[in-house]
Parts: sequence; structure tokens; C-alpha cells
Amino acid sequence: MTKIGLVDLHLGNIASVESFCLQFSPNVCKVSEENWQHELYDLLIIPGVGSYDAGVKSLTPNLYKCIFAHINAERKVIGICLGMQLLCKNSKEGILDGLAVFDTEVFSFSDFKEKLNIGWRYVDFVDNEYLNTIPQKYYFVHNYFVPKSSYTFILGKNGVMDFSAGLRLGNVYGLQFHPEKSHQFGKNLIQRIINEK
Amino acid sequence: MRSNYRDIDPPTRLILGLLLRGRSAINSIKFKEAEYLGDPINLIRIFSEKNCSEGAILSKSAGQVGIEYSVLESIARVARFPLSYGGGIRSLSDIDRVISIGYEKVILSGDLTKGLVAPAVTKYGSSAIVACLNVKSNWLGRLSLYENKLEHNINDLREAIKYCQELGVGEIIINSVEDDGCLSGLNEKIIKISDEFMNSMNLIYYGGVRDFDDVVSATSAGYSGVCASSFLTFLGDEKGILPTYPREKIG
Repeated sequence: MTKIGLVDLHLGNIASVESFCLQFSPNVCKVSEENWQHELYDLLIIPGVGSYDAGVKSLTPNLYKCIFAHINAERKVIGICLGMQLLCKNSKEGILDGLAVFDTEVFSFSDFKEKLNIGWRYVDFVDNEYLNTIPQKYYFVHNYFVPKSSYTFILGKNGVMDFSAGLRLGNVYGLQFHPEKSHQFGKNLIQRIINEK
Repeated sequence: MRSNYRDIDPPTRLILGLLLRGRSAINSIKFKEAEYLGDPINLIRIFSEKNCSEGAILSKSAGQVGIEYSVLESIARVARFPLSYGGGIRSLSDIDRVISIGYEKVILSGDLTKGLVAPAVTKYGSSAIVACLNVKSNWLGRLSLYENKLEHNINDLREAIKYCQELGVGEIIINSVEDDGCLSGLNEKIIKISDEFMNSMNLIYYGGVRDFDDVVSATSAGYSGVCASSFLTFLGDEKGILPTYPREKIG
């Protein structure tokens, strides 16, 4: 049975993510600064709705250790929305440094004269075979984005700009969209990640 | 890499607007008469099964009696689509609580002040903060805010949109009071407003939407989304309550 840990940053919609995760396993635990006892989960999820610096400040010492313990043990880690951006080096939204798992920066759509990216969007998987039996669409709500890079495994588009809708480095994934709010599409993707060897 | 088939790209954004009075779902007409629709949790469960793509929960009573967090939490638990909530939000701790129980965005209308919006944007980012401007034509025929004036005595709709942009909200719902619950079609004056702002702000049209053609028309005119209540909850001239949501065509 997959054990899923949810990093509780006290910032964002953790209740929705918890309810979503219960579809995959009844064994879902919130991980907080106070309760992490060096346990490793099969899948660790970093959810988040919020600004960059508020997110970085929420990464208290035990949560920081917890995330890197999972990465070092090659357990699967998924950052969602702000959670993905926190896995990057830094962001134009704030002045604090992120976790730098992905050696890339987070930029603002506003600086490129694009509006916020809100709503459902079709995406493209760089590996055409990944999930592309039918077009996949997910729910996005963000003003900051990670440009396309070697980490990009899902490509999104806002206006005329391509951006990374999904990042991957080994077992660490970043998803800019909200799989927990993306109907069957979100569920299929997370199930695919859980099933990966 | 691009897939061969996509219906509409990006998918048309149709948002379910669900009004609450206390613990009940209601439908209002021109912001006044209210008709009981049913249990909001049950309605949201039905809309989830119909693959509704997005919802806005708006409380008509929270301003007077406080936010019904237990109902909101139950709604969030059964919803399988993104939710925003508006009504009775007066402080950052209200916003914290609404987002923590499962809402992606909060909608501010009566309390669109710098004192509340600025710290909320700092904490959650502009994408989580939505303004709702309730508008009506004044005696000169100009679109102006209904009931609430914004800070600096702003009452004109265009000025209000600019003010909300400066505050840093991520999107703005423009809600037509005169068309609320009437299934009367789009308000052309409000539709035209998007010409000035479509390149700089996400605007959501709300009020009078009677069918999917209206949704497409508003989107074609530059609105990034359309919110609808009666269109998605009533069927036929007798207005029988039947939650519906167009399939296939939208995200």
C-alpha cells in the first residue's frame, strides 16, 4: 500500500490535496514541523497556494530535512503549484532562496506582458508516449512560471509563451497545475507517477 | 509533439456561480428575490459528477451572520473541481481559513481595500485573490458600482477596474445586477468594457447568461471566463431545478 506524506506548509489548500490523495491510498499523513519522525513515505507531496517568500519561510528545518531525506533516498516527491516553484532556485516573486533541486529560476508572466494563467489548459508531454493517448488538460492558476528547460517533461502555453507545466529530475516532479482539481486527468497523471518503477 | 485533437484550445471557461443564504443554496433575481435551490453540498456533488470545471461559491448572508465554514468545508470535500469563495471576508485570517479548507481563491467585494488586499496578495499571490464588482447603470446610463463604493469614492466601473488592477488582484468578476437571475442574455455595455482591459486583466462576466452561445460570445469578446447560475441550475420556461453542465465543449 502506497504511503503518502503531505508537507503541511500551513499555506494553501492542503485539505483538497488530502482528499484527492485518499483516492490512491488510505495511508495519507500530513507532515508538519512538529510531527515528522524521520519516517519515509513512498510519495511525498508538497502542495501550495501562496507567494514565494511565504512558502520559503514555511519550509521550517524539519520540513526541509524531510524533503531532502526523501530526495536522497530516491523516494518520489511531487511539488504542486507553489510547491513546484519552491523546488527551484529562486523566484522573481520574492527575495528568498528556494530548495534549488531544479537549477532554474521562476519568472513572472507580467514581466512578459502576459496575463495571469488561470483556467483549464491543454498540455503536451515531451515524451509523447507518457499519457498522450488523448489530449490532457489541467487546471492552472498562477502568475509565475518556470521557462522550458531540460527538466521540462510537460509543456504548457499561456498566450504566446511556452512554459514548464511539469518538471522532472529523477524521482522529483514539479507540477505547475493542480492535479487535485483536474478531474480524471489529474488522477491519471498521479497514478502514472505512483506506478512508475 | 502537439496532439492531433483538441476541442477548443484553451478550453472555454464556464464557472458555476452558486449563491448561499445561510446553509442553503439559493437563486436571486436582480439581487433581491431569492428562491431556494436545495442543499449546496448535494448540488456540488451533482456538479462534480457532471465534470463541472470550476465553481464560485458566493454567500449572500455571510456579511451579516458570518461565514458558514462548516458548509464551505463540506462543499470543498465533495467538489472535484477548483473553487473560489466570496462573502463576509473581512480579514487575512478569514482568507487563511477559507484557503486552508480547500478553496483555491477568495473573492472580495465589500472589503476591496488596500488594507486587506495588499497583505493577502503578499501572502497568497495575486492569482488567489479575485475582486467582484457588482455593477448597474446609473441614471446617466453609465456603469457604476452597486451599493459599495471603493476607497477614494470610486464608483465608475472603469475606474474601479483600474483600481483593482493597482491593488494587485488576479482577476475581476463583473456582475451585472440588472441581469442577475434573469436569463436575459449578455449585457452589451458590460461586454464592451473588455475591449479596454482584455490585454491587461482577466475579466469574468457574470449575469444574465442564458445558454452556451452567450458563454462563447463573452469569451470571443475578450472575457477570460463566464460565470453562470440560472443557466446551469434551471431547465425550461417553468424553471424546474435541474443541475446541468455542458459536456465536451469546455475544460
